[in-house]
Amino acid sequence: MTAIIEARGLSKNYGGTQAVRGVDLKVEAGRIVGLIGPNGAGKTSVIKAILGLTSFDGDLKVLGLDPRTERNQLMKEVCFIADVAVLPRWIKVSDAVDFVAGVHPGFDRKRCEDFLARTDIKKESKVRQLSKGMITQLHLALILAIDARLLVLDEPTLGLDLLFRRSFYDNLLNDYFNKERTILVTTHQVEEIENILTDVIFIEHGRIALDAPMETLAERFVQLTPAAGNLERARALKPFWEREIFGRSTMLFDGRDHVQLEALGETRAPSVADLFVAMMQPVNGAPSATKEAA
Amino acid sequence: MNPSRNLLWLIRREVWEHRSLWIAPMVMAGVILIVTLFGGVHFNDHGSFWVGTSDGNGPDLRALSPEDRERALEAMTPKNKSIMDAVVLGVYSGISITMFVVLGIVVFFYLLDTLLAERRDRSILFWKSLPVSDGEVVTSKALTALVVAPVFVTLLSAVLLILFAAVASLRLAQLPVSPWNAGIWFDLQVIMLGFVPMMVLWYLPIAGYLLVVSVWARKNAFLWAVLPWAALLLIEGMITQTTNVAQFLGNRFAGFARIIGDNTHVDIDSEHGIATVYGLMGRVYGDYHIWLGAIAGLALIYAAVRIRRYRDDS
Repeated sequence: MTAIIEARGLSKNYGGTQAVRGVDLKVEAGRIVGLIGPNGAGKTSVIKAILGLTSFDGDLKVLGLDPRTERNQLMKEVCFIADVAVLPRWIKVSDAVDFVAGVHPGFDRKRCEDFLARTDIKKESKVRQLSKGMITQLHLALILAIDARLLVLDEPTLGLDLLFRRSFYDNLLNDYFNKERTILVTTHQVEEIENILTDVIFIEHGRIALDAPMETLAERFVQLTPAAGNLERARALKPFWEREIFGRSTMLFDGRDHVQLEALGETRAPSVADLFVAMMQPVNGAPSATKEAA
Repeated sequence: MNPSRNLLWLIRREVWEHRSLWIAPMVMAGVILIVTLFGGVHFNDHGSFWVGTSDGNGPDLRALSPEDRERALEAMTPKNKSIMDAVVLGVYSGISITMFVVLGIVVFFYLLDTLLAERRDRSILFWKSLPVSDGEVVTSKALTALVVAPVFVTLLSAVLLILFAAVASLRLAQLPVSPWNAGIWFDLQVIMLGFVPMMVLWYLPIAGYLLVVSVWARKNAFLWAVLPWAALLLIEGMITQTTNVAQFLGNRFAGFARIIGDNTHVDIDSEHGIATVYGLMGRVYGDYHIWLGAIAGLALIYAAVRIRRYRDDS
């Protein structure tokens, strides 16, 4: 397997503030990776470094190329949606299609037009006449018709309503993704993408807090609701997170024996959203155990 | 990837986005034609005429009594060919200069805005997601301003002169004068072939400077472009009481006129008219100032490419 993205000691400084502090990262081909973190955690800086939109320190290779010096080459194989609503408002839909077809050798016009035909977007409209959802659809139609090895999506559904968000990810999976392609997506709406991800990376204060394939999460992490009387025994096993609702505790464990935990109460695999919340706000002042584990 | 194909698409994009580049000259052409169609017909005792608004060339023909009108027409009958030719040349030049002034204004604001606009509406994130390099983007903008727009206005002016002559002919149908002179029209176009590239080369450093301001400023590009020079002018005036900055700016804007010199009255309709004009322009082409400026302009355009690489307002 070739690494699509490989970073070692990736750092980014903004005039004294360290947005990214020595991130190591490896993304293999054919994965859908969620880069998840609170606002200001360094997600966008990592994305911008990968896309050659910003300078950085450390080693970073994307498709074997250095985004700092080989960006022009890189952009033939990488495409991205950095945010919704960055399509120029003055452009006509048909002109936008013509333009991308004109400059991108990997653009499949028919694919794009088929996609647009399934929407209410009129070819003669200008972008400024479209609703926000339609602009996203147009952007998606343009980008997903490009045969790229890496697609990067930075908060692609920000400000869209639920219906559009849902169909956005459906389109992504059904029309675009295949084993030769890799998708890197950032969002803070974890619950919406956890079902489509193959890998998840948590980033916090410019550091990687968790980097794991989805299928290993259920093995590593257990969410336990201890039966009455077992609370102290459960705590002795050092959960990295605990919270009380309606007088009942819920705990999260990393790398503990499942059988041992099952004896103490109800267990289940935590959702990515649960893990995210737990790792971003560790209680008891305990540093998240997963940092060492990962 | 084919760079010239990319450039063509990028230039097309500029034409879509910055419509004032071609609309403003067309509006001006339309205004000139409308004024010609509905304005007064003026004349003076020397046999000059002017179709359009009054500009001191004499009373409106329509306002005269029959006797005065008769006398005026007699005076207007061209006494000799060279007076008529001078009148036609003056009118043609005036129209062309007006068009190029409009071009200068729209290109000035275009260059100031073009690299800022794509960051202001954040569309830079879309453009940067496509395989077009910063060099291609900035080059397309420079070419739009310095080649596409000037060629368009040159052609538009040539057509406008023909339309003007046609409309003016209607207005002057009863008079013994003609606003159409194919020889002068042709001569003017031949002169433009040398003159337009000369102006483009001369203004290249200013264009490069405006692109740098455009790519660098986060807003208020106009102020960033103008204020530093105004400040320099003031500071120099207060401290050393010299005018070096003013002279430098004057040179950058109109130095070619100084190189041509004052004694430049040319009768282009004379046998050697065109050669004489080209001789004068040759002085500018032969002067190191134009080439020094052009090199500085290219360096500034290159600087704009480098700055766009990591320029990001988000």
